[in-house]
Amino acid sequence: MSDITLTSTEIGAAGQLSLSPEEHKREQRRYLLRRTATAYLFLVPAAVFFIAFLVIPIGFLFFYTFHNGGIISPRVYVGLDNWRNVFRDDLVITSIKNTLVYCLMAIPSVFVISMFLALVLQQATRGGSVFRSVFYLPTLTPYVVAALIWQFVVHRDFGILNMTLVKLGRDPVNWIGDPDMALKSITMLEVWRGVGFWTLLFLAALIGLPKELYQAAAIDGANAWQRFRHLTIPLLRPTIFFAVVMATIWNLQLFDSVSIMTNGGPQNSTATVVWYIQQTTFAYTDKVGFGAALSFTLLMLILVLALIEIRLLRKR
Amino acid sequence: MTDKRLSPFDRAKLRREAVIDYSRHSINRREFMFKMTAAGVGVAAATRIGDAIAAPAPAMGVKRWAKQADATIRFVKGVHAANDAEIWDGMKAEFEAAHPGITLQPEFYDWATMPEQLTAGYASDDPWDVVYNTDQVLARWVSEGLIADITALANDAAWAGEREAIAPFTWDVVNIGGAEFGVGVLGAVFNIWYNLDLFEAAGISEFPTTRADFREAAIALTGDGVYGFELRDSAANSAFWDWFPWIHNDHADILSDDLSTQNVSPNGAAGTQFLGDLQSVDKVTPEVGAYDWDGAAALFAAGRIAILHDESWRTTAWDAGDGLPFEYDVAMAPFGEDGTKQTAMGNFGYATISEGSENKEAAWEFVKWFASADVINPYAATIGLQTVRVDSVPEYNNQHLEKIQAELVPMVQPPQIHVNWAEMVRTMWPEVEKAYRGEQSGEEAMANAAEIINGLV
Amino acid sequence: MAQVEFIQVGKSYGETGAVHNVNLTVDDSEFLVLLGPSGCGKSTLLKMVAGLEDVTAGEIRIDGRVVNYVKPGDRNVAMVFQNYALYPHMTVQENIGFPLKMTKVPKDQIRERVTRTAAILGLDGLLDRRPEQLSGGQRQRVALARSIIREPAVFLMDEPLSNLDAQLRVQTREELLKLHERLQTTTIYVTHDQIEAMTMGHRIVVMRSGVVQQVGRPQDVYDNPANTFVAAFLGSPRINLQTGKLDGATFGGDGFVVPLNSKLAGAASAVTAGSDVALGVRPEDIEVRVGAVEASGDKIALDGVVSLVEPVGSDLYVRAQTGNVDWMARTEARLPVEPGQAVTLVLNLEHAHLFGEDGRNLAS
Repeated sequence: MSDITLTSTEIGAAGQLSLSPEEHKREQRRYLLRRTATAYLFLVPAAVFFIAFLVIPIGFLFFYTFHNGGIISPRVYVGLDNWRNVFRDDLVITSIKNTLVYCLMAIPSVFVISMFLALVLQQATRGGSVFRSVFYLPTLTPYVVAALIWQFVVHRDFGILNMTLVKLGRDPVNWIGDPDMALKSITMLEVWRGVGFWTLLFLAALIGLPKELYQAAAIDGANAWQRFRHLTIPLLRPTIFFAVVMATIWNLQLFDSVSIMTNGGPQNSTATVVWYIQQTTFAYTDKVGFGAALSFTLLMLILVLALIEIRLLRKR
Repeated sequence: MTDKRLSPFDRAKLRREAVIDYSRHSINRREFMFKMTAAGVGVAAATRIGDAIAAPAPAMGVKRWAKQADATIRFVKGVHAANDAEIWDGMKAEFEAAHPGITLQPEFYDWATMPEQLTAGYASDDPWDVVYNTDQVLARWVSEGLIADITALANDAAWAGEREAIAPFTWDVVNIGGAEFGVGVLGAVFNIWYNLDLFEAAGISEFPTTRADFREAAIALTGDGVYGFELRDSAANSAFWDWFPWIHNDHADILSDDLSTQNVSPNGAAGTQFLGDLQSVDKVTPEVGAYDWDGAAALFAAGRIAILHDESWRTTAWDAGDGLPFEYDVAMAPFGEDGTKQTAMGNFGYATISEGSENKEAAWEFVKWFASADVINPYAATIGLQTVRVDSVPEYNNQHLEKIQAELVPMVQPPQIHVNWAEMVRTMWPEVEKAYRGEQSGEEAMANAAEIINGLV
Repeated sequence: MAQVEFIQVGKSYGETGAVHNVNLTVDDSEFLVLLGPSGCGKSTLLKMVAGLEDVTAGEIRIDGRVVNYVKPGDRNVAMVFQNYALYPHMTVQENIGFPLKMTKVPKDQIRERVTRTAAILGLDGLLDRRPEQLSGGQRQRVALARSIIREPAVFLMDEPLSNLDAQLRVQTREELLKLHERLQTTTIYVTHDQIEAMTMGHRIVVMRSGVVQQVGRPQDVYDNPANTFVAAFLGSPRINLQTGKLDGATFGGDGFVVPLNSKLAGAASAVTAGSDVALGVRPEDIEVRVGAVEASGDKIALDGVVSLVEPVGSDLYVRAQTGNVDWMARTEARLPVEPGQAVTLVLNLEHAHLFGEDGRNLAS
């Protein structure tokens, strides 16, 4: 049987158009404008915030990198001086190095622990919500309180870490007073604080995964590890992608715990980029330009690392 | 103020709350101390900063306050106690009763963000009339033309007696470029606390005044769970306050007297080396970095540290509890190598009038009132700080604070005034830390520090 | 090739039961259909065989081996899911080969078997595509391929056709049957679609609320429903079920009387006269005539008035009222009747049923 194409005139007689082609065009333009106008209207608040609190400040920041002073003292154009100083300053190099080392320690640790906890919580039939709250609590804890709690962990004599070590017959460790240990201790604190957030994020993603796929995989003979490796990880790819990029952006801005626990010490071993920006911009108030240049350097660092990650993790 | 005087218990409680309150801010009290750099500077230094002022504001003429129109004075100061606002409610009432027509409006800044808050305030169209400034920032604000020249007011014959009663060194600090920009009011002192019971047990009757004796005593006192000595070691805990007297006593300082170059190397090497040896060779202290500031103070309070280099307000904190279970006393770091110099560290704060104030005469009435003995002494006693008056002392109700006020305040060698002083100290500190850990000699540490300081002069 | 046995199988979630006391043997190579409305427990029963649901009572045996405590992957069963459950991040090739990869079959063997299986299902050209790039029918075939590649002892299919459009469903139905003929693998097939059940099953199992209602060959079940539920569930339009009382050799309905034929009279003897019963007559056993008709043999004539006429192309559904009840008749397409018209309904009682008060078919 061959297909027969019918034209509409064969089926029914054509009626008269009530609008001329020009009128159709005009009405269509109006209609589209009304539709897009609504869309733009809804975008206005977001755009205002974006411009007022992001674009303009960044513009100012960039402007300030070429100046000294500007807040109460007269602004003086200094050309590239601030930029030159940024790359000459040993502490800038140290703080970038510390920040990167920290990220390399903290991000994988927090992800592995969070993923593990999320998988456990997903299986938990009883008390799941209680544990979810317990794990999330550190994330909600104000930094000052967290630091106080952490004192009980890293305290020389009464901290649980050293008490455990001593019980095991080992020497106590100088957790935040030893230049070789301080950054690791900061990492522990940050991981502890971050675990709740990432656990919930991973848990939400895990719960959203189609149950049938796991049932199919179970029938197909995949064991728990194989299901994790061949299903969970690839299926969570969008979540993991988001998590890696966000964690990089956030962790490169490490500041609070350093400021509270060590203030960059001992011997600058916990000096991070944002800590140094804060030091130069606010602790030494006349170095606004240097702080701005350093901020811009961090912005570039974050951009570059995030772009590399996006490149590597984007769907093949 | 007499009827408002608090009981010793209340005072102790205030003090304790103040400390807790500071710790609520991320960069709390140590930052306050750090930023609250202080007084005492040579005329040369003052001139140097004065030179930076392109066109000094015209000095104010003396005009006695007379009620012409109602004026409101806005006064801002750092928080010195948890209930500082409450204390100032009372003080406001007293001031207003004594000064009809002037309304006082006390406000507070957080020490943690003091520079930012003051910058914002000064940059606004309506700055505070009176600002409590620590001298490091004071010099900076003066150089920006933000603070009113009060030379004429401060030298008014009618106020001469009061002027005489305020320590002369404070007038040196506020004298920048030949004009005066503030009135000294409050201060804090850094000193040594030592455990008399442990000294007695070790058979040491006098606190050592030479380094050799100090070392011998520290070694003798160490053992059996007791550390002979401890001082702050990290920048986070403002450790430099404890380090300064040891190098001051060797005629070293961050900068030379004329502020033109560094003065840590070579003069600061011996004191730094001595402190490094105590910690990393003699090991009479806990491991460097093992305890933070409060941790070390707690160890002292527990009788496990014999000599603690710390700050004067500690004693009110201890009093706030049940006191200490042993006798203790106040001392200074021993004389330097040549045996000629012994000092204590301290810093001070000043009442200043803003150039932008529209009520400068009324503001001056308030400054005079705040600096007067009847007001500042009880207030200092309440919050546990020192005053700068030479005619009277606060009634502390604490023998240690009395002794500090009487014996140590006169020995204070405060920080130098340089716009980059804070940055210099902060940036060079890791070099001292390395010397404390025995990773480099005092000489190397000071040589490296010298380079950093000269880069910032 | 395997036999699947259900012995006193039950499933309960806490207090509520989902499946009750199922006793059933699925023969080797049999194509058994589990049929019932949603929530009847048929899928649960299937998942219990797969190992995705725990068995809380009784035993399930596959080839004589109790599998209650055997992991899904070790039961040698394969399952096709309603939504196919294809792994979205894998290509067709990887999807099909997944069960082999998980059981550590060498790579070259996997490749060869994937190619072979894909050929059987006509997936040759699609091996490098991802599920999202496939049509519904293609996805369905990938799911099938993934289940047959392991050569399992039992196929479990959970409404595998319900996501396909009508035409494709008919086509795939045939393909599934051909596949079964070829592989001869024991298959348990879950559906709520009676046409699928009737056309595909060697036997069908009708379930309701977790209880097996009837097991048998499709035509047997259709012709001899065990109860009113089975009678009503199978057949479209629905069987006419009229309630009434037995009075000797007649069934007295609401405003009408039907004399029983010998078959129904025999069934009626199982209950006492005057009992409440239901008469079941399928629409295709009712003829609509214009004008008077004489009753003869199994055929009973009732006067009625047409209330609704529904042409469906091949047939005409006529609803007519007799006494106080409606009858649905399925009659020839071009019958000239219209609503309001007086007609004669001819009931063929040869395949009619009488159901007792409890719904049970009195003939059984």
